[in-house]
Amino acid sequence: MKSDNDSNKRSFLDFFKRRLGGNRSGICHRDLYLEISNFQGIGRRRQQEDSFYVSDYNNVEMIEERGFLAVVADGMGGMMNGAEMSAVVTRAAMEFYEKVLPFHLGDGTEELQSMLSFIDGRAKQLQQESDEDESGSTLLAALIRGNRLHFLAVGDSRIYLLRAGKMYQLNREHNVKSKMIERLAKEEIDLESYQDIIGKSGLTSYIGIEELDLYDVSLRPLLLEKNDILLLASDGVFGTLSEETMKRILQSEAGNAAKNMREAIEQAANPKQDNYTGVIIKCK
Amino acid sequence: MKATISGCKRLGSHTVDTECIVQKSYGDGMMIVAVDASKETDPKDVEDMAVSIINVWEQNSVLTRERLTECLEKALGISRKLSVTILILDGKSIGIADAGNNRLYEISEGRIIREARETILCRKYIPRQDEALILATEGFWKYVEEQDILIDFSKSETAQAWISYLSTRIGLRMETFDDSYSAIAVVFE
Repeated sequence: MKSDNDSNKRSFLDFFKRRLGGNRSGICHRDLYLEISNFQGIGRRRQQEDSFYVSDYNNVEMIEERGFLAVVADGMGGMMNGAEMSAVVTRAAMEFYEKVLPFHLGDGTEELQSMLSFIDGRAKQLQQESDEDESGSTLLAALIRGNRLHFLAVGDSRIYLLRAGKMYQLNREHNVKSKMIERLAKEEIDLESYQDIIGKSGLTSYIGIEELDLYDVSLRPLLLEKNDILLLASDGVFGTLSEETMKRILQSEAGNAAKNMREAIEQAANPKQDNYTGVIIKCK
Repeated sequence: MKATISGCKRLGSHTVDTECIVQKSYGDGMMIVAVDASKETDPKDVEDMAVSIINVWEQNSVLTRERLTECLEKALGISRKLSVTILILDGKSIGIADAGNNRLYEISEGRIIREARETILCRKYIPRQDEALILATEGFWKYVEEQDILIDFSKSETAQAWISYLSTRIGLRMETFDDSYSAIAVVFE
């Protein structure tokens, strides 16, 4: 699940060639192909605290039954057990997908919410076993069934959708800045109070937090279209590369997008480069 | 017609409030009026416009193009320097009368449709679960793209949650926090 290998472009997903049917809207059916790739690096850190998982896309039956799952977790470096926690998160996601999901097939949202509880349970278990209740991790998950995308996010990692030349962030970040922006928008605080607080860092939700009640989950699927590109990324990616740069790389037909993302991050030579991890899903 | 309804309003750095969104339920239906006037307009006139439109409608609340035209003309008779949108839902039909720069988005079957502007229309509309409408003034829609609206709707069980997600997006994109905006969302259950 965790790798520092060079960018690894996955083979074309033949099993996604099946026709997408059953759309109650009557919208034209289309064939959708997914091309998966990933990239990861340690950056300037001592160890890799990011982790990722993609379901076994060679298992045609499993994908057809459960959908395709991609997960990215960013262990929190300021806490103990960051690496262990992110590994627990992705391992739990894998366990859920392979062993639990077949018995809980629902509308996509139910599965993601059940998976979140399952992962949170495993995280709490790690905290108890290691006697370290300060450990934590972010979590991103994308579950794709046919052309229907379901997603889940906790913490400040990001899921992007690149559609028709524009990047859209699917999840709200669960951090102090986002919380203060929300309060400013509601005019609960004034601009001065906002500016006093905004410099302060910190997550308002993450896997491992005592009460996990703040997370983003899709309650209705987003309908994927041909040429859509999804990027699940830890903050080591978007903290170094601008959205414009990411967009240019993802859109480029030249070479391997994952390899190019990794090279762009390395070439940026950010002296504080964090661990970085990305999973790219191209819809073709 | 069961729905959650939520609105937002931000004055920003403006000292006068020239935006107004009013929602009124009647029977199994509802009426929403959004007015966004120029900054020279007397704020009291803005509210009066909205109220007068509602009064005209309530005299005979039968949803027809003619009735919508009367309501719209009432508003434009007070001032033409405004954007006004009248939205009427009666559980079976939708009526829209729009002049100016507000935007009304409709979400259905996972897709977003921006309703025609500068128009008066009536058509059959039986809202179903997972369908929704959002009506916004320029200060709101210029910061959010249609895909943002769709993405945040996918995460929202209620109109309040939807407005909250979108307001956060706007806050992150505003550079000076000066702009005023208003919006109202309806999520059908």
